[in-house]
Amino acid sequence: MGLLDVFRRKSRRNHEAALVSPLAAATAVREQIQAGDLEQALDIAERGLERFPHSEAMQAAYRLLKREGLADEIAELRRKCEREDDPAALTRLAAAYRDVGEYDKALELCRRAIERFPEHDGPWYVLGRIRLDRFREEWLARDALLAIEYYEQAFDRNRTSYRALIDLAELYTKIGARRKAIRRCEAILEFAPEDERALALLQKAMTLPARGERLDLEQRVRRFAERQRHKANRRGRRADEAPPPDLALLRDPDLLYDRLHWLREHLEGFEAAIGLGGDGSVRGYCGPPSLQPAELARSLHPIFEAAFTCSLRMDMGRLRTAVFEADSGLCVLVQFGELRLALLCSPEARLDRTEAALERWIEHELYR
Amino acid sequence: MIEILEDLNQVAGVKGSMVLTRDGIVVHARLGDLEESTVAAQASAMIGQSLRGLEAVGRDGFQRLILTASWGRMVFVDLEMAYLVAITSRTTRLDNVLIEIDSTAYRIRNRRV
Repeated sequence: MGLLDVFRRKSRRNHEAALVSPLAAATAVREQIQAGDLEQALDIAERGLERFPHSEAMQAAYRLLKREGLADEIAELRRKCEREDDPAALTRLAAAYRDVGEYDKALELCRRAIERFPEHDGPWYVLGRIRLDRFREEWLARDALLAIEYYEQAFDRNRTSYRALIDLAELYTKIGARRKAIRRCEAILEFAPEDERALALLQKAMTLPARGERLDLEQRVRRFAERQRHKANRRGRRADEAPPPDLALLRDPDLLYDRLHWLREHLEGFEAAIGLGGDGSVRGYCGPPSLQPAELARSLHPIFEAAFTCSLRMDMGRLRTAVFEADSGLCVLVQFGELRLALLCSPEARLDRTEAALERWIEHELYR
Repeated sequence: MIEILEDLNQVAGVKGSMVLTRDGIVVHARLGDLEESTVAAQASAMIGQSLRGLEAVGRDGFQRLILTASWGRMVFVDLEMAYLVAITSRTTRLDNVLIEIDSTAYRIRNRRV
């Protein structure tokens, strides 16, 4: 084993120490970026995202890292787009913004490109990719349906759009839309007869049942999304698997109490904190006996439900937090996987003063 | 008031804004690509449910509500007779946007008719 290997093993061990929580991993990513070691930063970021896919701190660190890597390309493309109206440059810039997680900028550029160059397939493809990213993160059927719609628009404008066709073929195969998957594979093989990915996908699509249930596209997507969500929710339920932090907290009232109690110690103006199951049942409580946990749950559960529905119907994805500020104090709701946490504070706890403690609680303490 | 909302929508990260009463009646809206009826219905349900729930836990409503989801944010500000609702992107720095939203609420409250 060479010196370099020893160094790499040691640095991986160090990274493992950084992966105890999203906040620790995100801090390590930022430190590596500052030290100019983007390779190490990427290694930690990728492993961190794999372990904590829904963490805001981790996603922000990953975005920062990607921006660092693509900063020159983005600057150059922006200059190009300012100089001339070029659909390819607009599309590449939109794709670069998508890569760094700046989805709103990407969407705006796509809209601009579609308005000016309605026959160009590029922006439709980027729109499709953005929806596919969203679908893979939260498994909401609406995202997959929109991804399909956008990819089909790209295909309508460019019958040899390999990237749109391959994504479509994959999606159709996954949802079990046999005929559509085969057609898209065949469309690729017309202009790229030896393409290995298309051939493999075609083979897979052919094995799908030819005469299955008669379902339309939307039904198929919904069923697939439901399956994926179910699969994601099953994580950590097997005896040999460590449960994810939300399930661990839901199962262990002492652990949950310990995490809620952390807030009492570290948050100015703390009054009470409560942990609820998805059905509104009380799973843990830390606060004065004068506040009845069951009463609190009865009042807070409908707010959680309204916030959850509002987020979905507004096409913003799943609820993360809701922060209510009033003269009478602060009320914070946190959706942490399947666990719902609510926190009540006195007027002393102004948001600007409690933000850091709340971030540490959500992104570090709850994962310990 | 329309101009005030249009100014707010110029702020980076703000996708749209509206003023609506507690009963969900839209006073003014500048929502860009967002569908007015959907935003009004969701905002009004959110306000109504929050007021009822907060009152039950001994809180007198809210001055500001920041709702954060995976792909976007909604910020509600109490204007006394109505609410300012702003829909923003998730990736924009929240503190910068909040300053602009609070300043918009102040302009609406203090505008001369």
